[in-house]
Amino acid sequence: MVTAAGRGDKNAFGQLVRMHQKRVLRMVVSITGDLDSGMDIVQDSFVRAYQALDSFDRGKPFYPWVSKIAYNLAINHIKRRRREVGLDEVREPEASRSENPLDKMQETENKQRLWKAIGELPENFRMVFILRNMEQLSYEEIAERLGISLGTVDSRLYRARRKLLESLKDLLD
Amino acid sequence: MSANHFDIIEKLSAYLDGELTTVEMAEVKNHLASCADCMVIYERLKSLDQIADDAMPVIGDEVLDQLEQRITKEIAGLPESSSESKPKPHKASVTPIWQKYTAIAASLLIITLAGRMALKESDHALDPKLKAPSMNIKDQGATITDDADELSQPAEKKLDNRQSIREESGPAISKPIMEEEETKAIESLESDKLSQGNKELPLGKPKSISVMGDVGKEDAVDEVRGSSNKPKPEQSGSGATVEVRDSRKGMDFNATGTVSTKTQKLNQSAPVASVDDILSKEAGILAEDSNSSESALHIRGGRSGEMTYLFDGVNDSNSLDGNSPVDKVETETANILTIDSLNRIYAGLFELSISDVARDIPDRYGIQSLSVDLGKKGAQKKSSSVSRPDFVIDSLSNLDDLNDEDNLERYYLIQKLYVDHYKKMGADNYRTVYKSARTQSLEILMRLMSGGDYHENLNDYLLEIEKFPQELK
Repeated sequence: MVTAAGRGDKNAFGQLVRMHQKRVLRMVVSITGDLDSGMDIVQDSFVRAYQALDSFDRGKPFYPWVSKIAYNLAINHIKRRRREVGLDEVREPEASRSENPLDKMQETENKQRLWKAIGELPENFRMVFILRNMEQLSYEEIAERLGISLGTVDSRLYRARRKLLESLKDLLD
Repeated sequence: MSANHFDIIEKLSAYLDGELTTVEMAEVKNHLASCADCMVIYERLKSLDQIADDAMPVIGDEVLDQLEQRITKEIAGLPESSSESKPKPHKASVTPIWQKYTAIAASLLIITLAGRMALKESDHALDPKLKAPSMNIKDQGATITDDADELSQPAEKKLDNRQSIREESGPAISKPIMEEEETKAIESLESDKLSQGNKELPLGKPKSISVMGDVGKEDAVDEVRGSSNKPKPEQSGSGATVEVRDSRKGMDFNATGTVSTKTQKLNQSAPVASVDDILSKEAGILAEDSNSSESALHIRGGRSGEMTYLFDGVNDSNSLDGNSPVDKVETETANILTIDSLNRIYAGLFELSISDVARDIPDRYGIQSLSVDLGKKGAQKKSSSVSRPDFVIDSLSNLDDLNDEDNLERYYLIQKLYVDHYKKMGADNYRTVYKSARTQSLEILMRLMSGGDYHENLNDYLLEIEKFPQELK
């Protein structure tokens, strides 16, 4: 399918979009904290992927590639947002419009507390936690994504979880 | 409570994820069976994971349909993604640098030839025509073709960078005209390369520039060779040929590639593999002249002239104005270029390695807020003297900088690097910076303490520094 898409078959690429957009969007929204910017980023990611198909190694799976593009764009987005408005936290996904399927994300206090606690994590810890728990990447995949060692992934994830346990202590007891 | 109780606690997170070895998994499992404390922590971790699972963004079909439509619509408006008709980059994506350099080199060669034509015709090196080569180009003409049969015979001379081209081209080329012609040539050449077709420029007397290679593909391009830098007299009037040949393996350009991917590739191919390597082989640490207005401590590599950066063998500085084209790229793109695509042999590594260190600092030293964007802040503050704000680790020139917590921790990191590095390097190197490092550190400590503030990590470090002389004797 990737090969067909690489030959310019837009239908084939459309299938790739359908196959992977949900997972990519979920990961991006986990990072950006809002659906609108998440959709923009995912759209941009797939378009960039389409444009760069020539340079894509067809022997490799498509999802890690496009998700890396999306991940980088998401990180750039939150960095830019932080510079612009001084935000330094992962926002809980925005209050959804009535038909917005993300409504359910904010229904419980647990979730709100979790997002607040995640937002208070140092960025390095936060990213590892999100990649593990939200995107469910393996340690090896996280290490590759972030360019860090497996030991560092383990350490950061452990510390991130310990911090979250402290923040959510009353909730978890 | 077993002897390895605390080790087990630290493994609970990875145990939960199934990321331990078989032996470790069994070890933790056995421990949990007999340790109520660890079991409590483990259960909390499981609960945390459950909450995290519940908090996963739920993406409904409506959203996905909408997203798919948006993507499909935008892609529908793009050229097909194939090597035969590669689309223009989207938004912040950029033209691969090799393409730019190839095109720029080719355009400069056009100008060079035109200039020499003018020289020949005017028989005077300072003929005003040379100051306006665009006039000559319009008058002379050139053909761009990818027909290998049209390659010329004159002795070839490898063009290392555009400076060499410029030197050949003669003096006093008007810069605005130059840029305009570069732009035109780039557009024309890229267009030709992408379509892989022949295209004649609307010019007069034929000269040919051959562009060879499977341009646009990952494994193509990069070496720019120019023949007839010094056109033979018999050629200058009617067909001096310039060959731009793609023969070297090009960079694996990925317009939106990732730091991690390229980092690994870079690290594998680079002559240095660690911060220590960089510090000892290339970057170095300088103790600035005490009379200088510059800082007393400086990690080398941050200022122009201290290092040369090559993009696939081409110097990154613009020979026309001395600036790097990268500086003109918007920030987001510049970051991508710096790390992913430009293959700055040392600079990229330096940044990445330092960033790795920075990322590890919280784990290793308990500092929580150290920024990965190490040095940017300081670099921006010193923008007048720093040319590479995207990777510079600047040093602190005065104590006022330490009002900023990030700077304080940055300073701590740098100091720690000094310590780690000079411990290994020995007394000679150590003496180079020890005095200023120690003096400045003590000043900082005094300032912090007198101001009611206190940084325990810095103090720990200072205590470590104090041990230096004994260790090295």
